[in-house]
Amino acid sequence: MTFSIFSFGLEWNVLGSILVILLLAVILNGLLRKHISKANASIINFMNDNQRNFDAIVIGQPIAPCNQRRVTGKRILYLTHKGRTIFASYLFLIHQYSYLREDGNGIIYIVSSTRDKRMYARLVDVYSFHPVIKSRLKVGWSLNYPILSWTRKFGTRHYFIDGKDIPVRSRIEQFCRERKIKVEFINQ
Amino acid sequence: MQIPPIIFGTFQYGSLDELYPMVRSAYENGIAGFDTSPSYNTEEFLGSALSKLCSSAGIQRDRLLIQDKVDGWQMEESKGRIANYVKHSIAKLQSKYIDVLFIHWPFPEYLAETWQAFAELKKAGWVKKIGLSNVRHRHVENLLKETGVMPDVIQIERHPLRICKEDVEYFKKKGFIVEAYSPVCRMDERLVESEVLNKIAHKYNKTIGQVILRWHIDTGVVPVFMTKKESRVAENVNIFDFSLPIEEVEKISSLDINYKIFVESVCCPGI
Repeated sequence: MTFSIFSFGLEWNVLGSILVILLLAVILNGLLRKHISKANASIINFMNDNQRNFDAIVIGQPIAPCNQRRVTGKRILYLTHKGRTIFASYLFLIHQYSYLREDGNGIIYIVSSTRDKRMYARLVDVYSFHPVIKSRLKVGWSLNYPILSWTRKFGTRHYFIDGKDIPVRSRIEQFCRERKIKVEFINQ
Repeated sequence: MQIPPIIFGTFQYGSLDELYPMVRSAYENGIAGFDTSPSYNTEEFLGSALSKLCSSAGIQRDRLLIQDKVDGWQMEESKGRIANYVKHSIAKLQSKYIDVLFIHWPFPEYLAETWQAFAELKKAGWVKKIGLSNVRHRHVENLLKETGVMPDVIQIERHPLRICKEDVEYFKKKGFIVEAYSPVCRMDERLVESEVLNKIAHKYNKTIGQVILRWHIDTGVVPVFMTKKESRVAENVNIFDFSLPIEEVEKISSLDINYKIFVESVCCPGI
């Protein structure tokens, strides 16, 4: 009898602990979703924001104060986040470059380390990507449950369907060249 | 069926009950061309509406022009082998063919394969004309180099705030029909408040919307408009009783600020 009362009490303790953990997980999940949304605050919703034709777009790592003077232009769009890889920067480029002015006077700045060869984007990067790109990166439900996918890396060496082993920096240069866009790498 | 001078778009309709009165009104006002896309979720509604229209008006299907599209996710999923998607769309439209089929957005991956599939569908009679939407002249040049398949029609976002001069000139020089969606830029306040447009509208006793639609016609472009007001349908077709002289066309064209509603790279990464 004592044993059964004890085990009954233990079950409630375990159940209670599980509920508390679940509640904490739900709260943490909500906080992570808010964090991702905040990190993407500079992404323009073109359906209700008519900002276009920027002088410059800065993509990649946050720009160091000593490099800020290299960025010229009155109207600048910043798409930077700590830890953003060169691969994620490429994906931001192909998504956002049309916000740049098209008279030949616009410029894209890619802020990155020359040693960065990482071929993945993080959860905080993929938030604003097109559904086709998200599908290619196998994002799935990750953005709804960031608590389960926070450390996931999205992307592979096989992302590019041409199968060629071209460094991402070179792809960025080629992409901009084909579209007659000026690009400058700021190495940090 | 030739491309008519003005086409009715079915973007943002939520039901057959909402769409049918507009389709009927469009037809009664002389519009015989209708535009849809899988991403608009209106193919079935349009198919039912046109079927109902044909019955009630006693007309055959070949008196109408239906334009449809292939979307990026379809190109991606099938790696360009889109024929089954198109046949499914034709079934939803309650038709045996599509008059004009567009690649909606030129996603670079599988673009050439999709375009080749378009050529085959045209050859097999499933599609009468093939087109490209949201392209620049460089996309068309590259596709022609890669596949040799010419488009019949090009559809782009075009209005006085974004006249796409170079691209339109290229497309017309090549003999492609050019269509403009968002032809009045959703009556952006910069157009509503334009002195140029207000002056011209006053001169002809027309609305600014009518003047802009006429500007499209007078620059050789077919406007594809969307509205949920029957009165607007009647207004928009009342543009064939006047025309703009070249000076007025140029004044309207000078409003160009390269403003696009649909930011291309966001809608089609890598475009």
